[in-house]
Formats: sequence, structure tokens, C-alpha cells
Amino acid sequence: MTSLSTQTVYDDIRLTVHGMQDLPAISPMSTKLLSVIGDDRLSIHQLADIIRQDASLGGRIIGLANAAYFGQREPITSVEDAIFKALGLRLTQNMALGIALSGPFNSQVHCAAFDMHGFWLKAVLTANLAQSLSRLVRSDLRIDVDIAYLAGLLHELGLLPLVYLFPEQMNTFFTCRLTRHEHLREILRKELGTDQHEVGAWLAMNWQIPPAIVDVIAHHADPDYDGEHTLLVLLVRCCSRWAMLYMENGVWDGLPEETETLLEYTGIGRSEMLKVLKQQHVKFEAMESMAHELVES
Amino acid sequence: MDNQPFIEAYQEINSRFIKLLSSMSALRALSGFEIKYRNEGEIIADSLAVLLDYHELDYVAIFMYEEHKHTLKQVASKCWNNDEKHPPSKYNGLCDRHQDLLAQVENTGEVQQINQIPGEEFSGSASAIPIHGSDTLMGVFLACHPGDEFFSVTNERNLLIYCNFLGQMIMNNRLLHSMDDMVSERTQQLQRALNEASELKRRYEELSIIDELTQLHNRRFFFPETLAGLAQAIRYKKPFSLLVMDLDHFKIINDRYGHVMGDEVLRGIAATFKAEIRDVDILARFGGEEFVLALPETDERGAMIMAERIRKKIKALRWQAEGREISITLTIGITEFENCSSQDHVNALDEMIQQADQALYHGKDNGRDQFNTYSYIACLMDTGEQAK
Repeated sequence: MTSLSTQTVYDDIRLTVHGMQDLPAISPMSTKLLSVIGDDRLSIHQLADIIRQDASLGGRIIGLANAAYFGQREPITSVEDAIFKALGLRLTQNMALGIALSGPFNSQVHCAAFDMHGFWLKAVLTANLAQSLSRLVRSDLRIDVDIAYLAGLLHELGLLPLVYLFPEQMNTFFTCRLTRHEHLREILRKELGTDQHEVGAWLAMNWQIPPAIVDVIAHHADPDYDGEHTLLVLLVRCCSRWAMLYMENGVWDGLPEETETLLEYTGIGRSEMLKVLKQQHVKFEAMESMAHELVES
Repeated sequence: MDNQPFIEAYQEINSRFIKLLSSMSALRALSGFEIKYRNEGEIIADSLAVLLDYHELDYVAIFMYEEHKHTLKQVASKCWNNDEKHPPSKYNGLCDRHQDLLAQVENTGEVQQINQIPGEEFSGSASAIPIHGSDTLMGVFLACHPGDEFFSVTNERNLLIYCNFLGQMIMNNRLLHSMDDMVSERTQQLQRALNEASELKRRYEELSIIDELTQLHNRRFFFPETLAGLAQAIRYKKPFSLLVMDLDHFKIINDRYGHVMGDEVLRGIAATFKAEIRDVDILARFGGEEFVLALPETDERGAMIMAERIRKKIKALRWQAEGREISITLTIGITEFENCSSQDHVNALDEMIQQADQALYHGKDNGRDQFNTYSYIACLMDTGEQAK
């Protein structure tokens, strides 16, 4: 691997991410947009459903709705609110269409080692888990279900610009991770001077994503994080770990060590939690087969 | 169908749309600033933070003219990493090209930019934009971006609008503050005038009842006070006496030692009177060297004791003038209400003053430095009448 001046690479990445206005969509669902967009009968909920499952689309639409121009008093955290309160159906539709039109996020060409499909599934699974569990959290702790979903969906947002901007380098890094058993984060730190979490936070800030979610993106991998959004960060870290283990094993087996802390902290009962995991198992299988069909078609 | 042209068109429009949206968002955030009770430095610093939120800038700074000075001074700066104390080292000092840029804006009053700054320390582009308030150049805004040729016409236009808004806001803030200052200065002036007026009022009110030289009350105070006291004495059948006192040969002191000395003697006498009387007694300077003293709840006998005490005290007073020792004596006429024929307090007071005067003149005619009661001289007069 060529050793670059890390500071220069760091500056370059920051600059590019800072000016990045959108990213191609990643969900197989987004291709559906192209087929339904001319359909006048497309409802807000159908549009929201498609956008909600895609980190690029969802992040951008919610970010735009949070621009000060629209003058929202409270941050907008759900796609429906973005459509209803700020952007309107037409603008959302057009923005989403534009992003979908830019073509699929074609990582396979230059970054074969990046599993786009797996990335997408993990994001949606984490989001769904975080949303379901947030409903069970003690009410005095106040976790917004929409924020929990969005935080889950976007928590690894930073990987997308990196793969998009440096497909070949990232391909090497992904391969390295497998062969050398190093954490991707450490490889990126060493080689680029930054990591996927920092890059994700830059992009999220640039897109005006609410600060709680920026914190999750920046800190979900840091077990010692203690800040304004500790609970949300813990929830997403836990869900992300569950999602990863589940995708590896196909069953809810060997719950990660954070689980106990989360249950203790949030007051969620063990049986309630297991119920959520079971529901998600059913949902996940349906989602996976639907995605499979979409990709096949 | 080849989608590529549509995609490119979309991306172009989308990029412009988002930039415009960001620019409008920055303006909207600026327009929501509360400027009242905040100082200019805080407003400027906040405005820079908003700019960094919405424009893809790396470093922004604002330079303003200090009051009555003609040189620009940096009042605030912000960096993309939001760490003012530790900005990336390249912004620690402005390079010469930046300084030139500021100078050009000062000279022309127009937007200036540089698209590539050669050298290792700094690369990229910079734009300097004038901040106008009304028609005056108040300061300059400097924006830096690490990319070359970042400041397109659109970017510059958006920043110019922002600076115009900011300029108006600073102008309004200054006007507000100067109005506040003016109001508070005028309020202070008014308060001072008010204080002076009330002091004058108090003084004139006092002057009208107080004799300025001796600080004793004058006739204007004496009559209403004494009438009230006398009315009460009549109602409750209490004794009430009156003394009229006149300094003997006071004119000689004035003539020989001058008015200053005369005034000093009068002040000394007044102080002695004040020391001798009770709180309820009513003392006044009636004229040049004539004083009157009303004694509630005091009969002729009590009045005589008081008169004698005062006479002695006055006689014992000494002053120094032209190396000589000066002293003075006092003649006193006394009467009490019992001697009056009238039961009406107004007439009774007139009567008492006349009676006391008669007793006083009797003393004057009979060697001075003494007191006499009206009842005594009335007795003498009766005897005289009978003798005729």
C-alpha cells in the first residue's frame, strides 16, 4: 500500500465530504422509485416507506427538512414529518427521484470487498431494532422512536462516502481487515488519518441531521462514551451488535455484553426484549426475500 | 434511453437548489437573532457560526473599524472544526495575500477575491466582502476555502447578501445602543435637574420661614404656630406667656465694629436662645435686634424665671473685636394670657404682643438690662393715673 501524506488525505476527505450534497441510494427498494414515480397515485406513506429504508435517501431528505429555511421549532426526525412539515410531496419525490436516478450505488465495480447488500440489511435491521426497543424504554428517559430509527439507519453512514470516494483504497482496506484481522477503524486511522465514524459525523453535520444522531454516528463504537446522548448511543451500539451477530448466525444467539447494561439502564424487561427480537426475525426474513426479488428483477 | 444528460442536469440543478437553500437558511437564522441587550462582538461571532453551518467554508473572520479609528481590527473568527483556541495552524496568522485582499476592499468598497494562494502555508481560495451600514464601510468579511476557485459568482452573491444583512443588523444594534446611551444620559441630566429643583424648593420653603442670618424662625412661622398654641391654651385653660426681647444699644456695635461683627453677635445670641428654650417653646426673630418667645403652659412666674436666665446668659456672652472685648445686654417684656381682655386667640395674641412691648419699653426707659412684666407696669400705670 502506498503511504500517503496522512494530513493531506485527511484534508482532502474532509473537504470532499463537506461539499458532498448527496450520495447514490443504496437500498434495492430505491430502484422501485423509478418505476412508481410517474404514478400519480403514489401516496406519501408509500414514498416515505421507500425513503425510510435507505440511509442516503433518508438522511438527505431529513437533513434538508431541517434546514433553517423551513423554520421548524423542533428538529424533524421522521420522513413523514419531513414531507408533511417541510418539503412537501413534490419536492421530496423529485429529490428522491434525482438520487435514485444517479444510479445504484455501484460498489461492486471498484470495491468488491464491500458488501453493499449486507450493509443495507444491517442498517435497516439496526434501525428496526432500535425503534422497537425505544418504545419499551422507561418513559422518563425520553427516547424518541423516530430518532432511534434514524440513528440506527445512519449509524454507519460514514462508510458510504468512503466507499464512494475511494473505492479502490477501501477495497484494499476491507481485504486487509479480513486477512490481518485488524479493525477497519484502526486501518482507516492509520492510513487516512480519520475513520468511518468521524467521516459519517462530518457528512451528517453537513446535511443538517439532528445533533443526537450526529453523536450516535460519531460515538456508537466508543464503549466509554459519556455525553448528552449516552442512552441513545448505547441503544444503537447494542442494536448494531445484535444485527451483526444475527446476520452472521441467522439466529439470536450469544447476546453481546452490552445487553445487560442496556436492560439495566433502560428498564426494559428481558422477556419483552426477546419478544422484540422474535418479531424482528420474522420481519427480517420477509425483508431479505423482498430485497432478493427486487435485485433479481 | 440514455439517462446521463438528465442525471447531469438534475445534479446541477440540485446542487444550486441546495446551495440556495443553505444560503436562505443562513439568512433565516441570522434574521432570528435577538440583538437587544447583546454586544456587537457576540452578534458577530454568532453570525460566523451560522455561516459555517450553512456554507462550505473552512475559515471565516470579520474585521471592523474601531470607533474613530481608520484601521481594521479582527473582531471574530471561526474555523470549520469550531475550535477558536486551536484553529488549524495555517490560520494562526493571515498571509500577506489576505492582508492585500482586505486593503483592496477598503480602497474600492467592492468584493475582492483570490483564487489560488501560492506557497506551502496556505492554498485554496479566499473572498473578502465589504460590510456596509447605510453608506459607510463598517468592516470586511473574509472567507477562506481550501479548494481552488471555490468562490463562484453564485457563492459570492450569496455571501454578499449575508454581509448586507449583517451590516444592517450591526448598524441597527449600534443605533439601538446609542439611543439607549442617549436616553440614559438624558435621564441622568433630568434627574440632576430634578434634584436641583427640589433642593431649591426646599431651600426657598425654608427661607420663607427661617431667618437666614440667625437660622431662627421668622414672623411667618411665629404667628401661625403661636396662634395654634394659644388657641389650645385657651381651650384647655392652660397658662401661656409671651416674651419680647430686644438687644440694648445693638446699633453701636454695628456702627463701631461693622455689620460683620453685628451679624456674629446676632448669631451668638440666637444660639444662646436656642440652647435655653424647650422644644415646645416658639422662638422667632421679629426684626433687627428684636426677638419674641412664646411659652406654652407657662405662667408669668415661669416666664420670669426663663427671662432672668436668658438675660444672665446673654450678659455673660463675650466677643472679640479690634482687640477689645464686646458684650451686650438684653431688655425683656413679659406678659401672659391671663392679662388679656379678649378670649379670641387672634385678638389675644395682638394684645399680648402689645402688652409685652409696653413692658419692654418700660425696661428700656428704666435703665435696660432687665425684664418687666405687663402686670407690674399695668399696676404702675394704674397708680400713676390715680395720682393724676
